[in-house]
Amino acid sequence: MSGVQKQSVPTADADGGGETRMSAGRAADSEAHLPIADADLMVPSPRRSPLTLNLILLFAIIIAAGFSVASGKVWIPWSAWTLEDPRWLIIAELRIPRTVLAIAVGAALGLSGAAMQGYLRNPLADPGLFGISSSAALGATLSLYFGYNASALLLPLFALIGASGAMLVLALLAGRSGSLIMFALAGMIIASITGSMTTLTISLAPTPFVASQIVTWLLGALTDRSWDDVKITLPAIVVGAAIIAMTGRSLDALTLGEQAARSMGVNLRRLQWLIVLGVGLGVGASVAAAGIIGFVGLMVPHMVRPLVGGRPAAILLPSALLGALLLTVSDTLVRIAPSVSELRLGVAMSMLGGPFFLVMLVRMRRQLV
Amino acid sequence: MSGLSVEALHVTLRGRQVLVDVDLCFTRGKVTALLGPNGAGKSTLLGCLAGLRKPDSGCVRLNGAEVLSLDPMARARRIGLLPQNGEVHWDVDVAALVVLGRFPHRGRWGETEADRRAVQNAMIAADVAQFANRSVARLSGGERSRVLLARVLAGEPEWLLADEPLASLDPAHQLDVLMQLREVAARGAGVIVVVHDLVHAMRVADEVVLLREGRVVAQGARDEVLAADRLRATFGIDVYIGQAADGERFIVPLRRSV
Repeated sequence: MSGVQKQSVPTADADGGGETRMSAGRAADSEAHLPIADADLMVPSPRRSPLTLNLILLFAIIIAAGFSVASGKVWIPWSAWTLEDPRWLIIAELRIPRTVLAIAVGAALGLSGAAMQGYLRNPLADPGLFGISSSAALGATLSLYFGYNASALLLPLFALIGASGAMLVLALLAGRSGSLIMFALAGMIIASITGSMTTLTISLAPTPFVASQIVTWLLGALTDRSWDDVKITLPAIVVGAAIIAMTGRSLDALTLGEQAARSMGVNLRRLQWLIVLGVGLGVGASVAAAGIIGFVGLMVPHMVRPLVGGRPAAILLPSALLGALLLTVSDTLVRIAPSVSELRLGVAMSMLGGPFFLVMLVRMRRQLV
Repeated sequence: MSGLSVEALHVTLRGRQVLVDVDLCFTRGKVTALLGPNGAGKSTLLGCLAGLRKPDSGCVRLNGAEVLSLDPMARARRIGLLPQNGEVHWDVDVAALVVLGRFPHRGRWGETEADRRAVQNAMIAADVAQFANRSVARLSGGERSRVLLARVLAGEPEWLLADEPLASLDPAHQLDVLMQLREVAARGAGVIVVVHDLVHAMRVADEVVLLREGRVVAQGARDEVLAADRLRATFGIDVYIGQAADGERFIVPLRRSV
């Protein structure tokens, strides 16, 4: 895809552009090549502001959160949102933490996806690519295997330990060079090793019940989450997001390739560390909270780009917001969808993601021809 | 010790000596062409000059200070590099791309008046102001390379290093870029440009450095270096050097010398 963008398309338009250049640009140039006083008049303001989009998304998230808190097996109308109402317990202990997690996890995944795509300069990069999510999943799986999930704190904690393990190995394998290819390969290797260990854990599960518990958990969901989950994962997600926010300008510079970015003063090793830490914390905490929820990180930046342009830094915040919105809405829908048992959120997202990419592929093919 | 200079530079890549005992001195306000056959070490030399490659021994100095010891941002403010295959990975607006040239200058809190002015001047100098709001994907090859040149100019570097900026351009656009490089030098910056084409080197350069197998064959004023015997020694070709009606010298490669 980046190959497509790299190609320049010589069109009839190019010749037309050349004409205007000769008349307008050249004239100005030959008269004075040092600062031109009325330069401001000649160059229109360069940037589309993503501010409007961000505000719209924020507003939509607030509305979606309201619906998320209200809906479920029991519909709780606005009028009942008071401490006196017995249903307040449902809101305070189940719905609000679940909604907060949906927003946080969605934002973390959207933001991580945008950062990963910007860093690897590949629109098909996914936060799962570093092997961090599968390592976090392995951690969680092990805690289920050993039956540690009796305590609400242990499973997310194990997942976070798994994620940090992956970050550490990534840093050891690829940290020195700052090379992108080494980094992506190291990530893929970690993902494949931890993935196989997860399946090993399932096949060695002491009882069929544990095996099914693991499989169900891996499908990803926000069912029955509590404030404990929020307490563990939210700080990690916030810190991760803050770290990713620091990478925006370097990601922009990377648009011009590694050599150009380095010549502009970008420290690629520092950038790599920030990306590993930021994505690792965000994705690790997301998996700890919700299991593996695919496609959000992959899809969201694609939905944002047509609206705010391709500049990596410009899509970070909108991607986080859209990710939060997408997950909040989806999590509400899986709750109220008429089915015997609740549709798992991770499954729902994959069902959305597959067709999304099919459509994208068809569009890309049309561009290529 | 002012200017950009190279002292006893040695670079070995995978056991092959790419640069051998290179000593050079560049001056600001001039266009210096780096010429040599494929594999002569031109791009490696440019990478060392830009402070992106660590030589095995020797050093590159900018006004007496070793380039590698400079803070990367400070270095980037003074040395701008236009890489060979102008990569642009995302479809961004021309203006947004040119603004990237201000990267080493910009503080944490957004752009200043100086940034805006530099970007505008760069867009005018590289002649891309008229499509500031067009997306990069919708540019022709020539327009695109001018946009990338504008990006480097926006950084207002004291030294502009360009790696084959003329590749894949038609003759008209090649002339445009050559003239733009000349203008940059006229404004006081030092321009060091890797070119493959002797004709272009003759057109654009004040000074020429001839490289062959990692060694400097000749360096000096264009008319002294671009002489038939030197070019035969470097490229193994015979050339014809003549004078055009306007008094400019020109060069025509004729054949491989026997």
